[in-house]
Amino acid sequence: MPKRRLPEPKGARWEWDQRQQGRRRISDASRVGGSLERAVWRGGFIRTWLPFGDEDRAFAAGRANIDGSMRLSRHAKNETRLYRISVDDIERTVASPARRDLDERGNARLTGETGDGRPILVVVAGDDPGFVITVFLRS
Amino acid sequence: MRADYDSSANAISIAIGDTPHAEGSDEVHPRAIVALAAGKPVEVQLLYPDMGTAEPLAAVACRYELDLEALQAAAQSALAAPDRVVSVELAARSTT
Repeated sequence: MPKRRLPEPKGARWEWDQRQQGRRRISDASRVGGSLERAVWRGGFIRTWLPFGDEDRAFAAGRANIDGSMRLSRHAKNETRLYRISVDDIERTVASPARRDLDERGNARLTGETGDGRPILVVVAGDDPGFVITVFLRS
Repeated sequence: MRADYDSSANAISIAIGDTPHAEGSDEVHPRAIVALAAGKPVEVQLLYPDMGTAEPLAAVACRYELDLEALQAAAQSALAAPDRVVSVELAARSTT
């Protein structure tokens, strides 16, 4: 894949727009079962030169399964059995969460739904976007 | 009461009963989630116990009228033996 050269910074608003575009392209790629590389190939700016802050870490957590590296902790596996949540439910939520927040440790809290419409929350490590810490049903 | 501390996730689960499944949960504290079956607690999930266990477990015990000392004993036992399931049985307090 040819390397794409990023343009020089053009101000905070421009950077924000670029990041939003990148998110939309990643989201589109995940919806159609595409890859992160395909999103890049289509011209999305996946990373910027901004510091790797909280918002970026949550965003990174949201694309955990696009590169196929999602891993569940033993604790999370136990919770999937308790709540009858499938790995597909978790992957779907991580790929396309309805909402993203950060907890007090800086880990991403991703809200989604199971295949049968039950609301779930997936906690993904902020420093390891492929690592699912826990998951549970929300009442 | 069984407890298990997953050191890689930094999370403790405390099973209160033998119910295998839960149909909902209650986040009684930002770091404590109670799994519910038929409205009754079946498991307590405690995140980041290195940040303290007293406050989240107190919130759980208060909300569901659970034995706080038993929850604390289970959590501390799990932390003492990471990545192993520990069983804790507490007798009634002796009055003599």
